[in-house]
This record gives sequence, C-alpha cells and structure tokens, in this order.
Amino acid sequence: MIFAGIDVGSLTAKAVLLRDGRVIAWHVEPVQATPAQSAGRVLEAALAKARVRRADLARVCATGYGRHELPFADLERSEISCHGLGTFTSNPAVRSVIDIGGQDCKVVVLDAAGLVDDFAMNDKCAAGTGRTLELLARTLGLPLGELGPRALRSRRALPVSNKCSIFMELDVMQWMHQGRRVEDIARGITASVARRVAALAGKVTLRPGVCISGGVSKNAAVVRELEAALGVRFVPLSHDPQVMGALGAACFARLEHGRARQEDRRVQEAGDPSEPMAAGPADAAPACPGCTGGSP
Amino acid sequence: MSVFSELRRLAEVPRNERLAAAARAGRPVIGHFCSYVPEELLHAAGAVPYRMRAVGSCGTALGDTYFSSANCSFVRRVMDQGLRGELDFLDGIVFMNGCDHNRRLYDNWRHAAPDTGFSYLLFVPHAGSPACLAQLRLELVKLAGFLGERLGVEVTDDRLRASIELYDRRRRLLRELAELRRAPAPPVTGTEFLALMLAVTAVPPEDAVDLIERALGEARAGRAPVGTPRLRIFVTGSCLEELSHLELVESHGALVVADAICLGARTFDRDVGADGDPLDALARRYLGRVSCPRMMDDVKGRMAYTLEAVRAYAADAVILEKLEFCSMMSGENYIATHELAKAGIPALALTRELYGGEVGQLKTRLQAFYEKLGNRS
Amino acid sequence: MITAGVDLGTRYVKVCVVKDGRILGADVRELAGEFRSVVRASERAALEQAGLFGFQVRKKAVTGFGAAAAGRALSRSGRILDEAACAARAVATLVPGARTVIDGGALFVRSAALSPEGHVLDRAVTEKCAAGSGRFLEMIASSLCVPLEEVSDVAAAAARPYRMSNSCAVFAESEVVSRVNQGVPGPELLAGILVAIAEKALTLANRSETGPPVVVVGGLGHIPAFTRTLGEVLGHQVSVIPMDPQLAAAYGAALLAGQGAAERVSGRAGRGP
Repeated sequence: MIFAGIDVGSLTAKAVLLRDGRVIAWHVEPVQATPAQSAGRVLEAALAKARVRRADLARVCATGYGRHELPFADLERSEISCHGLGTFTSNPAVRSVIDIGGQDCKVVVLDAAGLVDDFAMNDKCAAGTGRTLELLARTLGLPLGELGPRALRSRRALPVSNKCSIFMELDVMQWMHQGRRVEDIARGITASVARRVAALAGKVTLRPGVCISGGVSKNAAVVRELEAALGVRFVPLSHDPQVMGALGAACFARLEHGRARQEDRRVQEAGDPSEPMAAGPADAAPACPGCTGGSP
Repeated sequence: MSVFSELRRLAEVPRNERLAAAARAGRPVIGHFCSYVPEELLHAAGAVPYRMRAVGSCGTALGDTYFSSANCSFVRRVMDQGLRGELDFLDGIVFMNGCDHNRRLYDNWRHAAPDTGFSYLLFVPHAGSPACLAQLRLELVKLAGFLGERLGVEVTDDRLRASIELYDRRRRLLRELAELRRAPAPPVTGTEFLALMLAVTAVPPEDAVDLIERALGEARAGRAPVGTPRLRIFVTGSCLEELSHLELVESHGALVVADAICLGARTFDRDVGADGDPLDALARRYLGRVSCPRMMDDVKGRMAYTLEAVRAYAADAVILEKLEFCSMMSGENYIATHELAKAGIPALALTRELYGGEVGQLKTRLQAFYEKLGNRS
Repeated sequence: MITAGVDLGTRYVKVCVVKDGRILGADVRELAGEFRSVVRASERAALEQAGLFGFQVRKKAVTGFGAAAAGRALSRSGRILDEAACAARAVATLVPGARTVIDGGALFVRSAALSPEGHVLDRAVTEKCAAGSGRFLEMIASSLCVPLEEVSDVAAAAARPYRMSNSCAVFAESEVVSRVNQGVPGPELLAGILVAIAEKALTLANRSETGPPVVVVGGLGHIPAFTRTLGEVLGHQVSVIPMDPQLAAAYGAALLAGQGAAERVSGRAGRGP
C-alpha cells in the first residue's frame, strides 16, 4: 500500500511516496503559480520515479504553506507536526528538530512517538530564513550554493545585524562598499542567521537528539555556526533534509489510514451493516516504522 | 432574524444608526479608551459612552506621521482614523493612561486636533491600595466636574446611581450569557461573543441591555452553533477586536469558551453596587475587578483568575494574545506561560498586529498547537 | 568647469559628468560583486560618453548610502554630500519653486521639504524596513512575473488596489502569492503595492509641512503609475524631475561639487535639529 506526502512551501514543493514504511521515491521542485499546480507536478514526478499510478495511492496528506488548497489531499497536517514525524521517521533518535525553510524557521520538540510536544516558530519577521539567505547571496553576487562554502573559508565574521533581513542587507552593503572580503561578509551572514535561529531554539527546552532540516540545512556554514551556538552535534538524517515535511505528511497519511481501518473494524464488530472494506495487504499497521522503533 | 446577525453587523462598522439616533436626540457621544474608564460617569453626564476601536480602519499612513512603526498598531490605526476625519461623530474623547502608547495618543491627538470634540486625559492609578483608591476617587471627581461643565449636565449622586444600576445590569446580563458558555455545547462561539461585546459598547447602554437580553433568550432556547467542540479554549490578552482573528482561533474544532480580555471579562467582571458613596464604589470596582497587566503587583491575581476560569469553563488550553510592541503583554507572557505550565495547562502565545494579516503563519501555529493537544488526548 | 557626481545607492551606482549645469555623460549600473570595480567602470563609462579624461574633471562629489557606508575609504574620491541636499539641488535647478522632493529609491523612500530658494528645510526617511521601497515593488513584481518596465501599464488595469496587510516586505511577498492563488488579479496587487509605497511617502511628507509643488526623483520616478498614485494619495499634482529621475542625486552632487563651501554650509544648516 502506498502513501503520499506533499509539502508545498513558499519556494519549493516536495513529494514523498511511502511503501511498507519505506521511502520509494521523492521529488523536489520550485513552486508553480498555484499550490495545486505545484503539488500536482511534484506528485506526478515522484509517481513516475516510483513507476506507480496515482490510483495506487491509498491516502495523500498535504502540509506546508499551500496545504489548504490541494483538492486531491485526503487530509492535511501542519508543517510543524510533519517535520517532527518526518525527521523522527528518518532517524528515530531525533527528539528535537530545527527546521529552516524559505520563510519560516521552527523548532519542534518531539515525544517518544515522534509527535509534537512543544514548538517555537519565527515571529513577524523573515530574518534568519532561506529567503533572506537568497536575497543576501544575491547582494553579495554569489549563487546561493556558494554562500556556505565561501563563509567556511573565513576566519573572522564581520558583524551583520539579525533584526530584519533589510537591515542585514544594509550591513552587507556597507561592508561591500568598504571593500571587505566576500568570505568574511558571507560568514557574518551565516553567523547572523545562526544567532537568530539559536535565539528561537532558546524559547523551548531542546531534548538530546537534535537534528536540522529544511533547505537551509544544506548551508554548511549555518549548520556549523548553529552547532557551536547550541553546543550540540546534529544527528544525521537518512533522507534529504529538504523532504522531511513531505515524509512526515506521508507518515500521517499512513497513520490516518490505519486509524480509519481500525475504526471500520470496530464499527463492523459492533454490527454495522455498511459494506465491509476490501481486504488490504498486511501493511495496514496503524503505526509508522519509526513509532514502533523500526530501523530508518 | 437572529439577534446574533444584528450584533455582527453592529460589530463590523465604526458607527451605527442607534448611535446616530441618540445623537439626534441631543445626547453627546463620548469616546473612551480602555476598560478602566468608568462609563457610568460619562452616562450620568448625559452622554453615550462609545468604546474606541479600530474597526473599519484603512491603514496607518496618516497615523504614522505621529507614531513610529514600532508602536502599537491599535494606537496607530485609531490616530489614523482620527486624522482622516472618520471619528468626527464624537463629541469628545476620554483618554486614559492605560499604557504608554495610549497615553502618548492623547498628546498627539491634542497636537493634531482632529474634529472630535474635547480631549480629556483620565489618570488611573496603577495599583489597588487605599491610597490609589483615594486618588482614583479624586480623579473621578475631577472628570465629573469637567463633564458637567462641558455637557451642561451636573453629575449628581442620584444620576450616578441610576447609571451604575444600568451598567451593573448590563454586566449581570453579560455574565449570565458568559456563564452559559460553560455548557458542553456552548450557545455562543467566542467570535459571536466578541461581536456582541463590540456591539454593546458602541450603542446606548439602554439598547445594549435589550440586545443582550435578546441574545440570552436565543441562547437559552437551546442554540448550539457548533455543537460540542473538540477543544475548549481560554483567551487572555488585552486589545483584541478582530472577529477574523477569533475565527482563526476557532478553527479545527476549537471553540473559545471564556476570556480575560478588555472587550470581555474585564468589562463585565464584578458589579459596582448601589451601596454607599457612588464614586467610592466606582473606584473600588474599577481597581478591584480582574486586572490587566498595566496594574502593578497583581500577577498573582490575574493568574488566579485564569486558573479558576480554566477550571470553571473546562478549558483545555490557554491562548495568550499580544499585539506586536505591546510592552504590557510582553512583560506578562513569560510569567503566564510558565505558571500555566506548572499548573499543567497547555498554552500558546500568539503575537499579531491589529488587522495585520500573516494569517498563514497564525494558522500554522494554531493548527500545530491543536495537533499537539490532540496527541495528548 | 567640469564636475562629476557619484551616487552610491543600495542597488545602483549612478554617475553624472556635468559642465555648466549640462550633463555631458552619465551612467547607471547595478552594484553586484566587487563594488569598487563596478563604481570605477561606471565612472569610466560616464567619462567616455562625455568624451573626457578623468583629469579634466575639476571637482567631484559622492553621495548616497554607499558614500556614508564607505566613509573614510572614499574620502580621496571627492567630497561626501548628503543625499537630500543633492536631490534638492537637482530639483531646485530643474523645477524652480518646488517645495517637496520625494526620493523613491531601492531601499529607502525619502522626503525633503525645500525653502522657496531650494534649500533643504527638513527631511524624513523611511525607518526600520523596506515595506515601502523600490525593492519591495521589485520583489512583488518579480513574484508576479511582471518586468519593472511594465508595472505601470499592468497596474493601470486594476479595478481597485488590493490593500496589503503585511508590513514586512518578505512576508508581503508570500501574501501576494497566496492572494494570487485566491484569485486576486495581478494588476490589483501591483496597484496595491504602489499605494503602500505612496502612503509611506505621505507619512514622510506630512512630517514636514511643506506642500506642492511635489517632485519625484529616484528610480521610482521611472514608473508613471507611482507618480499618479502618489498624486492621488497626497491630494495634489506631482511631477517627475525632467531628467532621468534615477540620476537626479548624482546630477545634484555634480552641481554641488562645483559650488563653493557656501552651499555646503547652507545645506547643512538646513538639516534642522
């Protein structure tokens, strides 16, 4: 039985397909004009990779910024819950997730089943998110992928404000007008973003087993600065950190399917006259592999 | 038509026909800020008290001339409305030192001098000690004198007692309606209740009493707009007037069942009473009812109120509402979340700007919070 | 006398080479990569257009955010002048009698009140964020896939401007995306952004109480719909400086570079408390 999770974010859309609790395909691409289009495209691409048809999907769960607008989703869950369960499924040792996406940054603390226990999310400000890094890389004249590597080459970060992405841009401009090294400015930017995220993490009590996900987790400099700021080593994830939300959504689709099956069974046992469900394969277990401690 | 539709309509416009009718009948309309201004006093001077709000505000472009974008969005929006001439139906405004932003609004209003009649600043002490009670009484004497002179109606003890009786009646009716929300399937949603509060503070109190009685009638007749909610929510905060925001809070099966906000419990908690000197009684009531974070040394009182209300209304969780840049709530929310955690009550702190959008972000937080509560049950 | 003015903005460098008030050569280019080489290239291009060599430029002045940011590093390349004074000089020269200058730049919107003689009496600049700046418009236009040159035509098709509820430029971007999804037409969104920027300018212009004539300078001056919207919001006629509005501050800097210390003093005296 196959479950799909779709995460339509502000910059990219992701889809993950799950069979027997294992990821069989995933796909990421930039968002289209509408969430429904983005979701449709990314799901089709994932289905093509796995060589399965849409009709084979048992349940589809949507998450992310565009989650309310997907007509073919059977259920929706918040990004916070999905990132939590996704990372937990990817590594059952995870108890705290730091997710830095395009426009939001969240810190999620999980219970032993991978469900949300506490969380914090950035306020009315986009400083310290992926979009900010993108804007500032452009100001520096660097491709986004270059920002981290260049920052790692610096020994001395130039101070960059972390109050507002526009203030950050003004600081960056100032250093550039003074002809300072791009590496040192890049390091200033990554350090500033890391400080901002660390401050957010300070709002909750992190549990050991901290991991980082979201697009910004690909920026090695931010990751290093953040590890230093929090005094932790991030635990690894067995899937691309960008698809954690979609993976979590797929897990919720699976959980929901199991729950509904149980419900049906209960109703049947109670003598409900409605049509019994077609017998499914044996993988209708209600829990994710992660939840039962299975290997990632 | 249900009275709740009418209340909603009254809540969504800055001025209404009932106010206009009162004005035509020669009653001055006096705006007031903050739940610490005794409406009874304005009413006893022959006026219709009008609770200031930013309903219908179209932005802050003019307001920002006087304020910075790091000031409270309520104050900036009201200033903007004043400068646009949208509040010219007022014959005067009683400002109050509710918080620093609000107090500065008075100074800026005086400077800008929009066509809203007189501007008066009522000083309300920041604590409930005997000295503060005596001080407030003096300030009320001053206000009564000012109003008497301005409006040509002497505020006698008899007039004041009559007004107190009317407002106590309004409070009792509001409390009765609020109490009905203890039911497993409450007869009013939080959004409806807020709409009612907005409506009854924008019409003559005589009309307000009638509207609330009709609402009570419908509520008692077995109304249950959303049935039994999945989650019962207690809301605390200060300035909260956006119906759209409460609709957001009341999504995913959650329902607001009680509150401690200005346009809520702070308006109807505790009667003034008919005994003794009416000004003494007013001072006692206004400094003695459930306080707001502007009051010093009453964190315990506010926490006790919240804990008791959460128990009485069987609330599953508390949402702490704060406007961006509100120094009062910013100072309060840390203690509140930690005290609630100690009591084992889940809480979510939300920050927003008045009519400020960011719906997507708020939705995600609320949904995640409700999912988290769902995991526990 | 031949003079040069350099305006180091937050997004573009603008250079103007001037003789007796007439522009001989000019250049505008985006600041990206190593700023100093971009600035040098821009200066070379302006000189080339003027058919001049660097040594023929007698006086040079620098202005803009970059001039202040670079500070000492720039002191050898010419006098550093205040942006409002430069824009005011350009406006006073080309539109004598103008009383208010609205400078719509990439990250800031500024307003300057002028005396009848064209001296800066008062000035105000947007604070804290880019919600009402050219950059804001640029971000939103690009998320709507509308090239900046077409913003005016597209916005003119709006039935009524959509009112943005977000104050943060980055979040406003996502608000726009979600409104598009909800079916709000692109023209209404663009027109709404123009209103938001014009309202910022209104807030600033209200702080100093000079009135019309109002003259627009800066990159936003290239967008006729902005000037029109600003006129509606301010409630009186607004015109654009009769030159490339983006070059106005550089032109004013070149004019001021040629004038003596007297002008500098009056410029500074006008700064107010």
